[in-house]
Amino acid sequence: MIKPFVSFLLLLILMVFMMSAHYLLFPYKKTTQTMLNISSLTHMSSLALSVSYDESSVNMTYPEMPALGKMDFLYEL
Amino acid sequence: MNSNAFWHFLTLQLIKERSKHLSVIFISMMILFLLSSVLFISSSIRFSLEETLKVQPDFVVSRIQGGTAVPTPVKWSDELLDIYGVSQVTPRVYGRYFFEPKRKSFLLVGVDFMEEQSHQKLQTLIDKTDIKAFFEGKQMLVGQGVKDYLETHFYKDAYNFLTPEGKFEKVTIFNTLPSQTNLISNEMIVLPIDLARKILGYTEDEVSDIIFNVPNTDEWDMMTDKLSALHYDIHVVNKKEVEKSYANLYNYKGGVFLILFLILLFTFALILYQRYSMVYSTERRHIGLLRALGWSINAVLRFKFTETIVVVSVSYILGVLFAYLYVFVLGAPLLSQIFLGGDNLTNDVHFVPVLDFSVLSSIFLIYALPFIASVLIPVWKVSVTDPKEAML
Repeated sequence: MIKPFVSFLLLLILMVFMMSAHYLLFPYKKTTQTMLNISSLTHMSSLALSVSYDESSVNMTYPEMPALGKMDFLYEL
Repeated sequence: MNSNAFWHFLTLQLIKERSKHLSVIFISMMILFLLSSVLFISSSIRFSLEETLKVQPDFVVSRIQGGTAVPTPVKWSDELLDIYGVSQVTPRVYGRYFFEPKRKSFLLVGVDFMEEQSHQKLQTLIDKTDIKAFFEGKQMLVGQGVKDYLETHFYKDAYNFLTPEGKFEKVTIFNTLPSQTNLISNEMIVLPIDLARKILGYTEDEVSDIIFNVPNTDEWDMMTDKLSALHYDIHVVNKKEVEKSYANLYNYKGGVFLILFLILLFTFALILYQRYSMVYSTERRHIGLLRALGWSINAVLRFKFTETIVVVSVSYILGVLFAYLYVFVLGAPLLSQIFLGGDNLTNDVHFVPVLDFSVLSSIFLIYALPFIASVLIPVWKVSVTDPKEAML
């Protein structure tokens, strides 16, 4: 193997090593525990979805009719 | 050709024609980066949700009227306690509070701090501050997104909530919730349950919904039937349904990207096939030259196969590495909004690193096989022809 290729290979190995180190050294326990604490304190586990006020549940033109833009098949519990 | 000479020639060839390989590596890397990023975000959110769902109640009951949720009577919790097998019945008070000028909203959550468990959890959550100070006066804990939003609107220490009766309730910001919990608490405001009732317009006898546990999972279906028979206007949701809805949502979003990836990959494979099978291409001439120098068909195929494997592996490793860096170190700016939205408050979310090795190996196989095939088939076609003809 020629030198530039070996150097490139070593750089790639170093990057993989750094990724593995980050993955293995990440404080999973602490992060998960903090999430569990907030979740058990508030009894809420729903995601903080940054969506604006959902008007799709109300049909503005015909209030007696169901909304047309609602994706029930996806979001319905 | 011995192994050392083969690798020397191969690497020399790769470096010499680097501009040609770099363009292929760059395009492949971008495709893999996008797909891996989406799958990383999706698997990390799913992991966090699965973890938090463990401490969530088994059942949530609420009252509906004409298909719309209305306040639930608190006396229902006494009725629930009478049912055999039901435990830990807790009423919840929560709701959205709209910040009128900009139509932004916060999630107000009332917590009964008189309960010892809540008290302890609050202490562990905010371990550096004096918890007794929290109960002196009207105070609240806010999520990172709420804190940032209020600060930009000049509410640095307190906020005046407008109650449905038209009165103002000044509540002081006590502390910010830990940023590791932004996935859940970014838009959250935690305050004492009575204060939350006042701001959201609930009376003493009303709550948002009631939660409880049924430790025996075999009883869950029967419990749903029993509860539905209890009141006509009751709405029952159990934990399995919540899990299923989350899985559906994120499988759907990940699936859309997977389809896009397959279309891209197919197009890319076609381009590669076209390049290698072009009549006057340099590739064709190069293969003809190797054959004229005495290389066997097998040796040419081995050479091209190894060359392709190196290109595939390098682009795959780089694509996954950059995706990891983008999602788990930088927090996936822009792309996270596809999953979490970006209309309300800005969410500076920290994703928990989750690597699903089965998914990663599937991506490699789905990507590598068409790539190798689209190179090797035309190479084989050229190498079986006469070298003179190939070099024309």
